[in-house]
Amino acid sequence: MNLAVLENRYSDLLNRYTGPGKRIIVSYHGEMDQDRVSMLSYTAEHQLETQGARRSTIKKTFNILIELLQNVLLHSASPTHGKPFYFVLAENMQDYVAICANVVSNQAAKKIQETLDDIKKMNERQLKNHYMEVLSNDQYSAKGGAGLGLITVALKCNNNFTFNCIPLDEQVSLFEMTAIISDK
Amino acid sequence: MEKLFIKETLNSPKVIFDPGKKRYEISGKSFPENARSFYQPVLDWVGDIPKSNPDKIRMSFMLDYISSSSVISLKQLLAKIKAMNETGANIEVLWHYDPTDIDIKEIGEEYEKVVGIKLQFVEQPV
Repeated sequence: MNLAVLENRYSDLLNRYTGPGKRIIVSYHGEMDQDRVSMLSYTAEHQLETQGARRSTIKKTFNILIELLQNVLLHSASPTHGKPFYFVLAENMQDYVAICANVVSNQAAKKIQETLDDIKKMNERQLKNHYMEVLSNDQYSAKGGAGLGLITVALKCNNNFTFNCIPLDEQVSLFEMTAIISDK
Repeated sequence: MEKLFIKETLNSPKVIFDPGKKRYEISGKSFPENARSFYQPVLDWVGDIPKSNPDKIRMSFMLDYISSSSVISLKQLLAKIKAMNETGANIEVLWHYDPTDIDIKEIGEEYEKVVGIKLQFVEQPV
């Protein structure tokens, strides 16, 4: 598995969000564990408070970060390399951009893409109805999720997200998700 | 009944169920790595509440953040409380929320619809 792809994309992101009207707020590249989820989300929350972001924006961002980072923790597939990931929270003009990427099995990548393609087509009401349907359903995955995490991200960023799956070899892909949070 | 006490961490709430002091509270942020295993002792404790001649229990949920996996576990806990009440227990759920943060109140309202349980909403002073 070629982990250089992660490093290169991480470096590209750091460059992309540096310049006039742009700023990196928190960024990290390494191995994921639960302490990292807490550390990155609390650091981001503190930084946003310090720079005077709206309270509702801070809450939304915190929510999105926890879901993105816990997805990495629960759904990474890289047995020989731990759980490599990168994470960037940046300011881009009036918006905040949260980007998170990790290694997933190709099978999981296909499923995530299908799920996100479906979510992307929904308007706010449909998304909320879908959330309630999934919450009503008692079928949970072996890892404890029920698909609510991705729907939560979509709801919190008003469906303003993109995603990418880049095959790394025959077994695994790099899954990258970007959520844009408006502070207007 | 035995007391149940779970210490708060950066990602999991404090749980105090103390029958001696009639204090039943879950408070803090809830995004543990494994919400299902975190809430299992809480579910077990609720399952042991006496159903004959029960004391009234006022259980306060004072959460200021709930991750999606915790949303599912708390739904199971509330469903358990509802089932216990239907078979003789007397548990009232107080759902505390910050009026400046719509998320927590909304989650409570969603539980009322999905679980069919009546929550007492308590607005916290800002």
